[in-house]
Amino acid sequence: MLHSNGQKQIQISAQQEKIYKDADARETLIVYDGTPSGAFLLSQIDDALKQITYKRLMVKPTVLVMVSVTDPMEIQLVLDRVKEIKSVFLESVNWITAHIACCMYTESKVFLEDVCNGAELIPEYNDVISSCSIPTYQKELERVLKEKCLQMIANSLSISKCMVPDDADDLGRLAIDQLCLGRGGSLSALVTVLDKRDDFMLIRPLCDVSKKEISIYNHLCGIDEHCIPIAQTKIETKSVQSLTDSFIRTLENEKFYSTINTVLSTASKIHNTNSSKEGSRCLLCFVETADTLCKTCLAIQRACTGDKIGRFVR
Amino acid sequence: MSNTIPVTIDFSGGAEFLVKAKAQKVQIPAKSTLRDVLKFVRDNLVTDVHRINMLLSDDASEVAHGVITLINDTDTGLLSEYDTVIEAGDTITFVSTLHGG
Amino acid sequence: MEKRRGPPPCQSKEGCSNPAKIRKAKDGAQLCGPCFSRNFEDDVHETITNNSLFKRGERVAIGASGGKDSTVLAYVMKTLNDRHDYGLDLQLLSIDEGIKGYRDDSLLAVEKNRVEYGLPLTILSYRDLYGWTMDDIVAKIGKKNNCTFCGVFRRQALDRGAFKIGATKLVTGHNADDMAETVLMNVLRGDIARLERCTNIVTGEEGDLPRAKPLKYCFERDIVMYARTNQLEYFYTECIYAPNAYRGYARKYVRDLEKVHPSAILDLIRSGEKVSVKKEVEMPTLKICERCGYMTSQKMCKACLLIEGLNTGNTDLGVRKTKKSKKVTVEAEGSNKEENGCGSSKGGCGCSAAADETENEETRKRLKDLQF
Repeated sequence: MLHSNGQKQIQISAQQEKIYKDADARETLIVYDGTPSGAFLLSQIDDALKQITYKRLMVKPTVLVMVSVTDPMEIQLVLDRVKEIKSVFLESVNWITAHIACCMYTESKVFLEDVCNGAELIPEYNDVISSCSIPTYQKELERVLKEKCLQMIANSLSISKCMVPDDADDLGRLAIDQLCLGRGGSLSALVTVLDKRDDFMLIRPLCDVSKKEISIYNHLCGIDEHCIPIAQTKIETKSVQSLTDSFIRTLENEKFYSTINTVLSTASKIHNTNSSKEGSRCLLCFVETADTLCKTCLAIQRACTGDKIGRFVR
Repeated sequence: MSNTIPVTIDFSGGAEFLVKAKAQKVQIPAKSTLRDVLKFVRDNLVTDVHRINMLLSDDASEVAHGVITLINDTDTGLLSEYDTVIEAGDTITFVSTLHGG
Repeated sequence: MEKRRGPPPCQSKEGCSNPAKIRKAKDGAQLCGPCFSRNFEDDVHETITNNSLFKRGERVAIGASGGKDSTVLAYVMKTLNDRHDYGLDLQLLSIDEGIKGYRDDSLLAVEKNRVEYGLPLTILSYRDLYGWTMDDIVAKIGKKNNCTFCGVFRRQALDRGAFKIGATKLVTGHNADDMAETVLMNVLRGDIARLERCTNIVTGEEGDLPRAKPLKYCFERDIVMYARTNQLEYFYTECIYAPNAYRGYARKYVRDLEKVHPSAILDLIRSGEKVSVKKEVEMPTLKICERCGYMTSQKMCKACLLIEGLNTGNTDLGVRKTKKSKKVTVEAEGSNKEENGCGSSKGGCGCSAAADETENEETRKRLKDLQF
């Protein structure tokens, strides 16, 4: 019962939005990041493919394991774990492991199996991130570069659709963060189920599912063991993102549970006041803007020393 | 040289409701920094202990949000923040910005 | 003894040689007192001219509460009107909510402004307008939803007062921190209609008296420092009927933001300015209140509804949300989210502090239904 519930969620998301209509490309990148939500997404896609009814989700998945750890030992650990997980879920499809540093590639790449692609670019990637002096912008830069990375990899594989495991809690926080970064007009594209770009489409099938629901489901269905827990040892410097997180926690502790739902619902109903001329987008974060960079990305660029951002903007 | 110096500590913008008097002449240890003054205020001047969080953080290591600190009418952000050394005769002002609309 | 490091010199463009005394919260500029004042006034002047807020010869009512924002607003408006010859007829307008020990004292502060700035002052009371003072209302309903009443009543009262003195525009002292908090609250409460218009520098142009917010981009800290620098006396006691918990958390969050990432304040306002409601989303249409003629999205305006409740003893009227949730059609681009999570798009309510309690109850119930 619960089992089919979660699955329905994704099917509803995918079908209602008519993401997979007719014979459109069904090749889809499924991002797995080791989180419970990532494992949940894998299990849901796995289940959906096994369905034989007409409601079967028509997806040809390629799993993309996104690695963000930088220590070689930890990366090897991820690769080993992936081998195990692969024998349980989606064993017949392609699995690719790539580091977020792949965002540094400037042109299409051939991605190999069973290695961590892009690991050689980690120092360069770290350089870019650490060139940013303002903690809030540094975190936002990481997010933006992660999306760049996804788009880069998808392009290289000639895949135009990409499913990410962001859940309602992630996206609700992101919505408030983006509001504080001045991207309020673009909330809809940033946090709802679909973000259509020119030749790329980000799909967030878990946008209506909370972390709590996922953790209960994972626990009951034995998916817990398919996560790759990554130790968070970093001491958090205060930033908009960390403040938002504790703000939401405070509200939830005080039993104001609806905040996330309300924020996401609000986000789905609004758009940019003066939508820019035809499809013009920020070169870095892809939100609609009349200029080459949106105001937020301009501020990020200014906060980075040595114009490390320039390479992404050309 | 004596071990204490005379200073005036002034509360304004609503912060005066938390203490006995708006402006008070007090003796504080010589070579105190602004950080030391915060502790001095907490230990000696605040009378409304229930609302002390409108003036100081929990451990009195900094002022509460929305409180501006001035030394001789100069924003301490332009001096050495909490490390600013207090001199004899200084007027230290706490201005609350949170009251009323 | 080691000499203390002095402040840096004033950074003003005019080549001022004074030491800096103030760090402007808005942009971190280090300025001496006179240069800070001038800089602050120039900012407001720029806001006024960039948005063509006023027309020559207009009578402008300044909503004055005696607090720091409206005191600074009145002073700056008078200063700029004289300096730049706006040709405005400025008048002070105060509302007496009837809260003993709070409003009666603050009205003294406004009275002082009247004398010092030489601006005429009109005071309207809730008792005259509605037959109820806030103290009466609290005695009747308790402290739970009093902010709803007060907010709704004040909004209308200012409009009526401005109309009474023949003003064609009303200015209020809302500052950048207020605006940022309002944008956030409207998103948190799912009030898309108000979210869309809350950052407009002039609101209510259709039918309603236009209201402008010249201090929209001024930080609260700078307003306080401006008042201090110019030795403006203002009244500063919190309303004895404190706001509810939810808004309190939002306010703390905004203050934390300002400390950790100051540009978030103006960015929140910018976010609000760029928001439009999608065409597909059904919005309440404005009508005229059957009872008093004020604009409303319902048959009766919120104030009349609240008064009806007070007079008939049904004090939930206009405070509790109705269960019926509006069907909203969001096509393709939107999500398939259920509408019950959206707060509501009710119109008319003035105070954003409304309905949190009820929302909380609903949520708990909803969560219960969800549990498997």
